Amino acid sequence: MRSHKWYTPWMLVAPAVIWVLVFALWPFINTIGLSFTNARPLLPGKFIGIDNYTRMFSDPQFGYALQTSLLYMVICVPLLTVLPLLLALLVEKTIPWIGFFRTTFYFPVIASVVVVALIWSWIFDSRGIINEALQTFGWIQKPIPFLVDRWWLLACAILLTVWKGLGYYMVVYLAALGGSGTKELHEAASLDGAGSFQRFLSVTIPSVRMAMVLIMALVAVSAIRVFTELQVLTNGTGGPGGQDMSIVMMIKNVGSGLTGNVGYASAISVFLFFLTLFPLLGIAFLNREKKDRAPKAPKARKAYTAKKVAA
Amino acid sequence: MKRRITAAALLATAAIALSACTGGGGGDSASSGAIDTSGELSGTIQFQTWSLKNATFTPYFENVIASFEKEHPKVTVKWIDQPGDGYQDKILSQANANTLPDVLNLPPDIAFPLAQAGKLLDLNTADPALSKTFVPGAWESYSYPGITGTFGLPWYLGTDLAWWNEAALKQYGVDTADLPTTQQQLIDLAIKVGNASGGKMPVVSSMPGLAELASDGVTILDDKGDFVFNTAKAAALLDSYKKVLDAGGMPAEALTGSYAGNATMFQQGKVAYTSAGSNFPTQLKENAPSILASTIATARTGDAPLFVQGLSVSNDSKNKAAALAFATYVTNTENQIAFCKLASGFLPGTVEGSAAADQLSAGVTDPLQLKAMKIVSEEMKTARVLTPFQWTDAMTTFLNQQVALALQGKETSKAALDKVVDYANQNKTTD
Repeated sequence: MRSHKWYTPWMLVAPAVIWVLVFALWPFINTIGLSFTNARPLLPGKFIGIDNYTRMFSDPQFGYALQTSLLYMVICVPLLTVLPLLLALLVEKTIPWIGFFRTTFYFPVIASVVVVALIWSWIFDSRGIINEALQTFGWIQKPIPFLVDRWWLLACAILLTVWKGLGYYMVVYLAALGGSGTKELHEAASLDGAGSFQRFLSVTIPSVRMAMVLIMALVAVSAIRVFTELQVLTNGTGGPGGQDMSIVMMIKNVGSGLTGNVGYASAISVFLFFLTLFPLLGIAFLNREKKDRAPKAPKARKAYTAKKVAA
Repeated sequence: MKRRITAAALLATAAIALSACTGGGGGDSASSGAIDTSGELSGTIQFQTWSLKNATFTPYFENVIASFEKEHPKVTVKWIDQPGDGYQDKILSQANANTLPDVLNLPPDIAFPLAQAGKLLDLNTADPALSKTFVPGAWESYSYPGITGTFGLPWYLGTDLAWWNEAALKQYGVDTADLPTTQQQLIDLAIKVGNASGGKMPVVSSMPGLAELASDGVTILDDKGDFVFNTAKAAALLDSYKKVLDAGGMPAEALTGSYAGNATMFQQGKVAYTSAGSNFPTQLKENAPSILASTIATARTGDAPLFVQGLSVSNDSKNKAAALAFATYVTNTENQIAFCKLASGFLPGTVEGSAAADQLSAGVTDPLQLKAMKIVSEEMKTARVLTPFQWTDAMTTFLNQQVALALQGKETSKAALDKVVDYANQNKTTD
């Protein structure tokens, strides 16, 4: 005997579905629609076809924004995948005072990124503490333009992102290492003569593979969508020539305010959405499960088939 | 299964139906004709100011509101104040939600897109007698080509002065009795002090922007409303600023700085010059009393800028008569003079009020403040709006990016200006 009507489960999920429809799905569809118009705030736009997309691909500002966002992803993903793992291995040990170090490494995560970026902008200023120290030691004659040179500025922003993210992903790895039960595997590998590096590659990494995939995906998405670090370090200008402007900064710059170009900003947003899918698909492809396929050589195939039948 | 498909189809249909609600609605730009405010007024109106609710101005506004409500007992005025930052975004969200306050404080550049969308009342049509009350230049700053009408009542007018760190300049042999009055003299001084101090005491703290070009006599817009400031004169000005940067007369961070960083660096003792309003000593007293002791003021180099603040009436107001009457009341000569006595360095926007500027310094004892107010009242005679309302934030960002490249020598000044003019003309919001 049925205990509920057919629509009961739908009613239970309805609030969440409505929330997703109103605050996620509709804005997304609306953005796609706006990207084909010349809409401005308060003024309805006219349909202009793919003009916004054509403009985007010929806009030098967009070219810089794309380069910056992709570089950010390419550099941050390996750094924030490997370094937190090494940090986690370091603090995994149960020795006295290790809790203090774990807490210390986690502190940057809870600090406000805006406040940190502001402080870093003072530190990396041409008359900030770093330049003053380097000049005092005589290692440089003129201040290094950390915040007005394209590559130095990008390096500072990436360093800030990595510094802030280390503790967070370290905790993810600690959880993965704690639940992996690889102590016996390490002992067995050690008995077989495997060195530490070999054990790291063959035992540790496979044991945290799923966490690594998750972290790569998270870092890739957040790196492509970088905003706060560059916004604060460049005072919203994107650096000289706008060469350190990210895609999200460009969307804000183009589309915000009473005179924003909402249509163009929407087109860039749609592009960013699809761009974000690529690293996720790439990571999924690299981490696909290998299928159990029959070998091609006849004798091997015969043995494989026999094994399958016996199983 | 069939029910699941039905439910999924219903949800998808709802999503697509919602997607029809795209874009903002264009406002009703139809004029509402003359509005009679002489009769009995009633209703509740909202009055919005911009960063004016503080110890200085709150008693003033409460008095103005109380006296207006006493004259019109059936009218209730609800006063709201918005913080300094993000005002444009706040106005935009109010306009989108059709919740613009009845009377609101707007400068001409923010009023323009609202006027374009039909969100503001045409005050010239509502009361044709108003135009004679206000300073002509300020009244015209709320009229826009292509849109019939005037959309703001000039409330208070301000300008900038030049502020100098006398102690820092004297250290490098500058005669502070003969400080720059033109941009070129400022540039020469910055190069001199930059070289003498080895870059340790920059004079200038910000890159030249559109206002600096206009102040130097560069034509910004032509008669058709196109940007035309990519001239040889403008390029020469940028080349001069490049020499300032190379000599250490401007800190490298100015290349990614904003105008707001201008006065901040001065208060930190990092630069020897800034432009700011005549109430700057009040900020210095609070933030940098040691710098205040050696600060002096002179007239702004080049043409002085005119900053206009006004009150507009929402076209969506349900009590237009009460709103118009209140806006006119707040901006009458008597109330404007009382306001400007509190807002040191600002002048009233009415003809009578600006003629009575001497009254404003009565009661001010600080000699630096008094001198600043005297300079301001002289500057106001020739001050003009340097940045046209057509200039947007996105254009400012692009200009800053290109000028930074030019000052670094990575691009010629002319090429940088050509790019900015192209960008500005392609992204104009006026048709």
